[in-house]
Amino acid sequence: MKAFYCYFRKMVVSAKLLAGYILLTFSLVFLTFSGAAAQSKYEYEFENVMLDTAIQVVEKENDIRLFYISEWTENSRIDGHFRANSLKELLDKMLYHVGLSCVDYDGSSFILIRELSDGQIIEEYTSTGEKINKVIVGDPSSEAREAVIKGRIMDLDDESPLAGATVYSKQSDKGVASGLDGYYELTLPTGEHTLEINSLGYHPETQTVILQSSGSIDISLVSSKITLDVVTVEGFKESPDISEAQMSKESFQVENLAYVPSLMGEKDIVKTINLLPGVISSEASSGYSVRGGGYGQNLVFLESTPLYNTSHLFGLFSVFNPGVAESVSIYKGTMPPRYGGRVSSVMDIHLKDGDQENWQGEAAFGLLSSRASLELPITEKLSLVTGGRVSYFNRMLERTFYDEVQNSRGSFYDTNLKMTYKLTDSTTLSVNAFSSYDDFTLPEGEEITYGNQLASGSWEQIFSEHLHGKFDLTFSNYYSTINSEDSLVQRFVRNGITTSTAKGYFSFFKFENHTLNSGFEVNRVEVDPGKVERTDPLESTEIQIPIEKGIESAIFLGDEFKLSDKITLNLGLRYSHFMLLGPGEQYVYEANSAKRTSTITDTLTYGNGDLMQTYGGLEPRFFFKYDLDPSLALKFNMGRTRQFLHLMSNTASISPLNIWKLSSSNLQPQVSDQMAIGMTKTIRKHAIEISYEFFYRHTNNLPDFKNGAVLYDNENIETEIISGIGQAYGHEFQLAKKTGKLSGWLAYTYSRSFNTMDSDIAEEKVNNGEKYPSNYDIPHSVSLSGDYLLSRLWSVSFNWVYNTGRPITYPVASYFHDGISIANYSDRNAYRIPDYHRLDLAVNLKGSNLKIDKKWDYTLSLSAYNVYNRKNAYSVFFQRVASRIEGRKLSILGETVPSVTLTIKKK
Amino acid sequence: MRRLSIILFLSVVMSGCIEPFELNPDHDTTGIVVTGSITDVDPVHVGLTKPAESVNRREFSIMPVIGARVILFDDQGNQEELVESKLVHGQFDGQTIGVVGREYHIQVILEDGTEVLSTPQLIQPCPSIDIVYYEAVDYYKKSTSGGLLFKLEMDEKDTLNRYYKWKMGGTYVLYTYFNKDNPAPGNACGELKPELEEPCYVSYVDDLHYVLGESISDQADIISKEIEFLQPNSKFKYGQSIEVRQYSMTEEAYDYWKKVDDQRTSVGSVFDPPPAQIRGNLTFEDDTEITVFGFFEVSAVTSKRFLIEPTDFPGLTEDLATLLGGSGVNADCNPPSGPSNWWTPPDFCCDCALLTGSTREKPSYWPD
Repeated sequence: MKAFYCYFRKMVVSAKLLAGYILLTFSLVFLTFSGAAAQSKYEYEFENVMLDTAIQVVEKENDIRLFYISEWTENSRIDGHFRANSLKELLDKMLYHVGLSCVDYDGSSFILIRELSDGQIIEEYTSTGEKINKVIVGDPSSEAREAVIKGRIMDLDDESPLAGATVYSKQSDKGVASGLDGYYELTLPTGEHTLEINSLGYHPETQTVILQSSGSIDISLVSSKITLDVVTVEGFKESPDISEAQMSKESFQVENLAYVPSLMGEKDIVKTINLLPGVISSEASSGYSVRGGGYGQNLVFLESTPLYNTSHLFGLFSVFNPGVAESVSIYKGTMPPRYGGRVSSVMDIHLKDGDQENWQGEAAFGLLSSRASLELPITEKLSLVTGGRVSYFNRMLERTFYDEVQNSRGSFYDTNLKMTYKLTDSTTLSVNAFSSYDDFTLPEGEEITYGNQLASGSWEQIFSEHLHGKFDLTFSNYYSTINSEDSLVQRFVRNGITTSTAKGYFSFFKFENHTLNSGFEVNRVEVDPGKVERTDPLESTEIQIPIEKGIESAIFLGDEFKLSDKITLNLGLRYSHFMLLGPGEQYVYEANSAKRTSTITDTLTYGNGDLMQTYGGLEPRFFFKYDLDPSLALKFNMGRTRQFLHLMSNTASISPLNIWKLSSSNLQPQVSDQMAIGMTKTIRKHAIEISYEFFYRHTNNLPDFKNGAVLYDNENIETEIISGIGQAYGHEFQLAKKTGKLSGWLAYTYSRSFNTMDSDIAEEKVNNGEKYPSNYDIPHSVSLSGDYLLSRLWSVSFNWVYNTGRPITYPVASYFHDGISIANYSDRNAYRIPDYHRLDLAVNLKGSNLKIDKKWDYTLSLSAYNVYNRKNAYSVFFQRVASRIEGRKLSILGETVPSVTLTIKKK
Repeated sequence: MRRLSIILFLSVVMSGCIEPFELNPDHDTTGIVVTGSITDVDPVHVGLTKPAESVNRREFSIMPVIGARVILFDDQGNQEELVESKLVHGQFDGQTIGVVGREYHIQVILEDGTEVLSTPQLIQPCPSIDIVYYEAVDYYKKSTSGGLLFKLEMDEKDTLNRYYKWKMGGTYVLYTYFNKDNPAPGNACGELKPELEEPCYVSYVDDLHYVLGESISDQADIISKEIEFLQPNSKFKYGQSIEVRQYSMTEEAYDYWKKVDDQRTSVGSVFDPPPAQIRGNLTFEDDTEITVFGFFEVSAVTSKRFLIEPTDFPGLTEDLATLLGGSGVNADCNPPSGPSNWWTPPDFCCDCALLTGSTREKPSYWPD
């Protein structure tokens, strides 16, 4: 600064000598332009010329002389039309973009000075000619050595805040993550900084700032979807973020599913996550397994509200309307401390907030169902997002040639409604409602219905620049019913689960380089295991299996911080607590005897609200990242999770009729410890990302079931449950190419999952107490998914998936009892069904208008599911033909399923 | 059945297909099969066989266990050694009839001296059957022709036991072309003079079909079950006395037969629980890895009878009813080995009284 000032004084002296000459020049320039521009005395137009050249032109034509440091304008260019009534005004306009202004010394001599103002953007050029925009932050006259830069990170499109975006200074090697409201705050040395801003689902941004003193700068990021339209086609999936210590996390923008080939053209979130490493699901299955975990060990949130069944049509499609959903994140391993309650994974789905300026809409017409969604600004502060989907399944059934199902009926629908109200700049309120419903009448007249009903309210508050908060009240209900009727008796069975939740989440940014998160949650869970209503001509009876009530609560605290230039730590601690409440009964069984109705020795009866059982404990979470270089990070995560709510399913896939059960004195909570270690590498400016993870999970009190367990309408279901140890381990590798004509990824997962059910009681052992493969033991899984841009209008996308066949129990012997052939089965899961593999292709045609600001967009997708007609085994089962047992392989989607989907979108 | 319907529904809609799948497991033919029962109306019977050689071979044979002894014990200190049938190896019968309230178990001593024991089972009392009735229906499930659907209802508050099994059986009239006054050598047919033949009354129990019931509530509730659907066949040619049998069961026996039932109805889909290894109440006395299959069960039995005439079947006229009956001739009087379907009445040309459950004495319940 001092050197700069001395040089400036020398120039002032020299300038005085030329005062007369400059004055003359000024007059000539005035005369020159007076005729051409009646209102502007000086007018110049430059087309991307060197700034020095432009200055020389002005000097020459106006006979003036400018004094300045040549380095200031070195490599700088100028482009544009400039008009002014004075030379000073002209020069100020020409030089503003490089942070210079001029002082009129004597009319013919002008002295250029560095004069910056807060928020000014100046341009500089590198030696290679690359232009760099630099933003001035703070008061230029300040001589502070350190300053706080803060601001908000937003979506460029709708200005919605981006939570969890990282701001990182390359020069000082410091960074911080934005809070829920998108605000960040970072203390840095004054001077020039190149800030790298990253957020999942958005293109990384680099912004150079000249930090003069404390000040603010808001940064808008461009969503991947805009790039999709304009530049290239990008795979739907965001690769693991190298900037955060969290690992085993996958995220993607739902809009990017448009190019993933899908069954019957139905863009499907749950089916799409099956393409991710470590996530497995079978066709026509409503759940999914993560790293060898059970379906009931996954927690799904829709707008912070738990969702217990994600499927339509017994699992062929999921309930999420892709026109309403915005983003999906799934944590496959150790989860952040704000999550808990399931030992395997958490999937968090966020809906769109709604456009606050223009209405937007989207409609898609498929062969099986159609959907529509609408984003509507109601007032300046109030926006609405709504959507719905309805099937026309009955029409298909009516026209089928199969007598067996002609009498069947089927339909499903789902609806979404979300309203967001920005009360003030620091207060946002939103409400959300969701409903899904399936109704099927099976060939024999049995009617099955099931559905979800969700509602939530959210309050986001910026209490201060250091403290932001979010509060949610949610309600979730899932139910299923079976209605059967014969000539005499009508039987109606209903079961369900209801959860009411209150939770709060706080982000605290007071301490440099630390992002503190804390919060609480209280869940009231009510499980209705089954109510049977029976009506016959004489009387009606009703049997209610006792309803279970419990309160699951938790508090948590987390802190992500940089321990050094290369080490980032994220430490978290969660305390989970569970109370089983009356009214109810708990049975005491004979010691050293199998739990049976006949071995009950005592029944403990509890009144309404009485505490029947309580469990709880600490759940530490640890996340570590070590940066070997800016593109290569090593990560290590470990943590503990408890699960108090258990899915009662002993099938390879959950069905809509499955029930849940709360922990009790006879059903301990699952406690899972898991770890993962891996690396993430980016190359070619993040265009290609490579990641590898090894994972291990150990679960105690893992529930499994006795041989031949009956779980439906079972008043004493705990007699069917045994518990033991679950172990899952394996590794995942993925290579993702994010940009270019060809984008996509290759993922390989090796995953093993074993259970051990040992006991002193023979009936409570499985496979004689030896370790055996769980239903989710799929050792090898490969997915190759991509999109190739043929032109600006056409693209071809593809999926190829391969999974080892799931375990199965085979008959290995048979014998006769009273003339009945009985099969003796092998040890549980000793064999496997055939391997699964499938290729899907899609050709996509986009609307012709490729500008970002287009009003209408349409996409026509022609897709083929299972292109090479492989008859993959949905299941292998065994039938008796006479007295022998024959194997059968059932393929649900054994042929190529073509589809055409037209999506029309108003932006 | 619900699971099967779901799978069928999805399969048809989504152009699915079912095709044979070759089973190549490592067949396990070790172990023995011990089956047997004692009731308060039937004497004790035990069968000893070996597992089938293959689970999916079209032709197979059931090999009896040779050289074994079977002894029945009760909790009163009584015991009886059963006698092996001279006609069929491995089938043992005794004289003891069960008594309600007593525990019974068996001991099987194999040729090599190893012993198999069953756990003691208590004969639970069995209440009388509340309501059994049948109705004529035009079709039932997959059947396109009419028949008689037998149902029962039972008030749980009157139940004495928690677990039940129902089976159907019957007694029918059988004429064979056996001339007892002029028998042919061996078991060959004699002169065909049916008018000279005295009929046999053949009783049977349909072991292949059974229905289980469990009282699940202490409250007053009605157990309602469909027992059997009967279609017209030659057994009804001269009328048939249908018997509905109600068996009391122990919890262990109920679990055993429930698993058998589940195994028979499972379609193996991803919505089905994994097939269960079914283990009964028999084990080797010495700890060994050899498996004992089967169950020795005890029951009290109550029953009700109905005389069904051919004209009771819907749409079946008297003329047509007279046509019922087969005309085949079987020259072998020995009962068929292995599992047999007793619904097909034999037209033996030999002495019908040789058939299992057959007698020339008219039963007391048979109308004049």
